[in-house]
Amino acid sequence: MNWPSHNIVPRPARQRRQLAEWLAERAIDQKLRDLDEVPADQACGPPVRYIQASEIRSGDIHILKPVPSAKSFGPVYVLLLLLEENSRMLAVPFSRYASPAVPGECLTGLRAVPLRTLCCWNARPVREAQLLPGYVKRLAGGKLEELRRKCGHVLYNQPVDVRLTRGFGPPVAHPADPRYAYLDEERLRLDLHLNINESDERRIIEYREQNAGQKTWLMAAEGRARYGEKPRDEI
Amino acid sequence: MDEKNVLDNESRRTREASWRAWKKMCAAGLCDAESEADLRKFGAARCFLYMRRYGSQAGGAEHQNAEHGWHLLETHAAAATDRRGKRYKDWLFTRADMSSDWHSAVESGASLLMRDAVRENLRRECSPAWMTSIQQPLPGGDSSPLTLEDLLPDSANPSDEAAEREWNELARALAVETLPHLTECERMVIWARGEGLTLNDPGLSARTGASASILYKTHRAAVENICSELKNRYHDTSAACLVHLAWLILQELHRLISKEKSSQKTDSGFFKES
Repeated sequence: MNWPSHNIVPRPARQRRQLAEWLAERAIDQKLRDLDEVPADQACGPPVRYIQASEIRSGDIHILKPVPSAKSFGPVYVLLLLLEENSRMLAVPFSRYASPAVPGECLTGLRAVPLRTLCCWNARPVREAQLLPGYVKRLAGGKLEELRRKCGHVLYNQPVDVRLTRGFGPPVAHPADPRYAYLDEERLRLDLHLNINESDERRIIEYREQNAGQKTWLMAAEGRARYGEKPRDEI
Repeated sequence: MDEKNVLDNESRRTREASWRAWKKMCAAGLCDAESEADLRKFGAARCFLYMRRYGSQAGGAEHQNAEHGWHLLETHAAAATDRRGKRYKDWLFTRADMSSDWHSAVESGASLLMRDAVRENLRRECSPAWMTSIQQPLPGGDSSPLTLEDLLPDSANPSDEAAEREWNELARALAVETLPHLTECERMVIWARGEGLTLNDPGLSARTGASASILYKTHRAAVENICSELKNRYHDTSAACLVHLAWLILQELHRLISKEKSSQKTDSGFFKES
């Protein structure tokens, strides 16, 4: 068959290696998770009260308050960021995995197991009441600036230094890619913790590479796109 | 570690006092002997069960690692070496305080922490990622297992607008051919994905009468079937072209299904224009 005219752009081997690492970790996770059917439980008693109020600030890493509806998830660590483009404090969750799954996730360079990968794509506005009091770690200086730039790159398409573009995850190219299910799962994890109940609202989870070099990216909570079309809210 | 002992430990309950003591101290090793032993037995049992769940690929590591289960948890759950880095304990106890069954909640929360610790341990010790061939079928596929090369092929770009039109025409013809072979559920998930809906959307489950996990399987199988058909039909073609064409076909199927459904009054509520 004569195919319509096209160009082929080779895929860097590094991206397939990254994907293999992520898939291996995901396979382990799925095997272990079958064990955890946490029985439904009714919340009881008065809400937990804390004596000290903490003052949150950009660069702090917190854990989101646990919620009864998210019993099968472990602690969710988030980096608080105030970006120039957004007047509200954003909570950027850390991944449960060591490897970034998609181009909206990046390695942080932090050594602690819960803080190695940041899911910039899943950033949400957060209120202090949704955080466990007291920061876990406080980032400042070069590291905070680096992560702020990386998030700005993913969320607002801001240009970054080539050095910083390393450490992002591989693109999603195939319509049956298992990472779609992972993205849905991660979005739900945040929705439950931030008490978002928008079952009726249609929200996009489209995150794939279109043609060479043209990456389609949308925040989990914004806009929507159709198969293969350039999304309205491309950022 | 003896398997029988581990399983005996699994069925026994921990003492609330042990958890309270551990909350106050930095690590189990600094608690009183009884609390330390209590938590270590709990850690060993849960670690063993997770390791065994992973199966033979753990290479017998479950016996060695279970001994150090509690240590694994304390090491991997901490976000820093100071006291602030151990705020996961606050998470664990807040979670338990919110529950009607404090004891079960604290144990199930600690199990979640242990699961993450075991996953990290297995990733480091047993992960086969480095030796995955790009042509090796990946686990999880049903009809036609995907390979790394399938998932991340080279990119194919139409050369110009005329070529793009030709691609779209080809996709349209194939979509029209495919549509009658799709089940109602397959149509729904293809439509939903085209709309950007997640497949764990409660409205979608209610509409199809299928659970989210069934919808994910259905979607994956439907897409894999389309890709597999393309592969069989155009077997000498690059993966890049096939994936590009598959996306266009899905886009076209989405358009056809939307059109079909919007003309059916009974579905108009779910297929609302947004």
